[in-house]
Amino acid sequence: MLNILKYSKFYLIIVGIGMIISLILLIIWGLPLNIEFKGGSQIEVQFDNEPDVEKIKEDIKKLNLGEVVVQKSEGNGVILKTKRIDETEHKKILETLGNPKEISFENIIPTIGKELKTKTIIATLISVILIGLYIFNTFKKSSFIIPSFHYSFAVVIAGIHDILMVCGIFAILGKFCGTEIGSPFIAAILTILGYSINDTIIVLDRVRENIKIGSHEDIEETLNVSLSQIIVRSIFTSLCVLFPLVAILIWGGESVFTFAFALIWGTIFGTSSSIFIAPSLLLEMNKRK
Amino acid sequence: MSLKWQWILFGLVIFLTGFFVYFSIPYTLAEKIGIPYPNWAKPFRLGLDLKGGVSLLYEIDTSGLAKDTDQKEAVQALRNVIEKRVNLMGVEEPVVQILGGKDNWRLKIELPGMQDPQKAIEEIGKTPVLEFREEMTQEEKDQVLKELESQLTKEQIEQIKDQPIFFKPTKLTGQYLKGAKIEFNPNTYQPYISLEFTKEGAEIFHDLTKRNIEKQIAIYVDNNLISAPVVQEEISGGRAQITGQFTIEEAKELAQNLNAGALPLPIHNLSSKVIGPTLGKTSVDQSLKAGLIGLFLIFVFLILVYRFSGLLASISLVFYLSFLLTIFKLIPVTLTLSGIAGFLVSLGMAVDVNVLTFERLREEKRDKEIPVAIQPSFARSWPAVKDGNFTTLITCAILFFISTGFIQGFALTLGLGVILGLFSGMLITRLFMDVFASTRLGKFERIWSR
Repeated sequence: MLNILKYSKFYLIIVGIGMIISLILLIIWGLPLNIEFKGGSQIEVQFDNEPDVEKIKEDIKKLNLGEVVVQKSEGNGVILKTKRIDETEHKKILETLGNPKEISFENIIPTIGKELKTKTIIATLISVILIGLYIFNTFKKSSFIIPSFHYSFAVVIAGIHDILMVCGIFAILGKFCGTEIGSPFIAAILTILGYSINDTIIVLDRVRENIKIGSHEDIEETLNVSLSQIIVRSIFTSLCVLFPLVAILIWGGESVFTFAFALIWGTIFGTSSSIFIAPSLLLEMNKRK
Repeated sequence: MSLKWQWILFGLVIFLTGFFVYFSIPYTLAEKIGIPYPNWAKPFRLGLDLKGGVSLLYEIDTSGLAKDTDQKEAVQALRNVIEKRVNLMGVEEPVVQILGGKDNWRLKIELPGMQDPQKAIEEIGKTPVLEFREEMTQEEKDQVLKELESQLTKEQIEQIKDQPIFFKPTKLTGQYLKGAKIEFNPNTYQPYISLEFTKEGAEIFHDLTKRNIEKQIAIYVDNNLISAPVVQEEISGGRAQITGQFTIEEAKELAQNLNAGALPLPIHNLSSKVIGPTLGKTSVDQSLKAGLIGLFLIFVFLILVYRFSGLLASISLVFYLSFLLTIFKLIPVTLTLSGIAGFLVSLGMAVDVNVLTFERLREEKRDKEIPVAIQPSFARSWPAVKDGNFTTLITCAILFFISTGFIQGFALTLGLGVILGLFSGMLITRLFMDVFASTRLGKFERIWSR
């Protein structure tokens, strides 16, 4: 038997600190939202030869479009970000650049992204509540040692932790690497939440089973035995989830890189929170019994 | 179930798997290898983010509608007209979708394969908005003036007041138009446009003329007053004329545009977005390649760790994957990046079902023969599998019904994937294992797991 929960307090303190740092970073820096959420225009072009970004910046400045961000992208590509521009301004910019090949042009009002954000938050909150209730109900039948709502609480906290940590990572990436997130990030966050909850439930299910059998001395031993039994499965399953994700990260191209990156971190946090956070919470809440 | 039936079922599943695999091969790949591709095997429907194209969002202005009009119906009529126009552009599988609700309607248009948003906007927007308006009563006029007082200066009010007539919207708009053609006044050779209404439109027009005898009816195109003839008598039969100071060219264009489908409601472009075909094409090919590599790694891993059981699970996963892809083709489900994400997670969970069971099998086979150990392994992994998958299904259902667009696609693929993953993991893998455990292979305990 592995004595994983020997340091349960330590895990919880580390996790608590991590969550607080993440939260602070998110409050100070926020998530690096792209124009889908902020509104504005974005043009991506591809030149035949290596473009001179400094010269482009100067040329664009002459058009008086306010603040324009000019960035290099893949190959000989350049991305320009401006306030919302109309078609004449759009054409003028392309002319100034010498009419290179236009890869994409987006002209977006922020309301769509905002609506998406609110709708996602509402949907997520409702599903978290319903999942909490579902767990409360299914774990009720065998809740004579650990109250059923403790399981719900542990699952939800583990899920919140995973999302918070991934968002924190992206706050840092946005600040220092200029990474931007769009609507696929919302899908990634939902995926992480789904995976995390599924994974935690499967771990806690083992705990429930061992409590039912009832041959162990105390809660700490029951939890440790359950974790020792399930940890191999947790590692194997997360490996199987990581295989396609890592393949996508390496070979999938730039457009899905950020997405795969978020999911990989989500899988790692999701798996570790099921093993370290949720059982530690159950233990600390029920230690005296 | 008797063994004979299990073998028959096994054969059936293998046959179906072969069929599904054949069915789920992408069209381009089939062409490359030279496999004949039957006509009835449709290609995958790819979303705009994978295929490239133009995506437009419009705001629908319903403020001009009379208060008692059914907004939903009017918006639907607008959608139909725009769809007609979009279809004329010759793009494959365009999407014209209504979003939003009361007083806040949006129209989303997706044009796969198109690369020039400005041209698209022009094509969609150039249709004139045709409206018939009627005179306001004196009370209504006073009401409007009163409302305007707070917004306008006194001078402006005085100016408007002098205009003898105020018009208000009626139900009759371009949506009831059957056709328009240019004709000439035989005396003056002045061109005019003759309109023919649909049956419904004819009735509305009849009513409108009946209650406005000796009053003016104003014809507006794109919010400009074109003419405001005085109604002499009620008109049945559904015909009307627009006379105005047109040149022949102008009249021709107006008639043509009206024919192409006058927009029953004004729309304003909110956003436009072009996704380049290079981005789409490479990301599809690359994601496909990456997905296949990832899948291969999973199979290798399963076989290394769980040996023969791992091999059976891999076949069961091939069944699950090809079945799912076939369903995507048949429904059809539009594949987008987020959809693929949902698909990946469901794949992870489908693998998990097998891993959970095999880990149980390792415990069970310590004191049992393989053929006997299989049943309790599945039975004991079920509660965990059930809870994990059901909670995911709850999330999918909520996301599907509450959100829109790509999140919905995510929920749909994940949900379908979870259901099929459960089916393949709990029933198909089980069937495979039962069948082979009953043969001599069942005696070699070591090949069933590490």
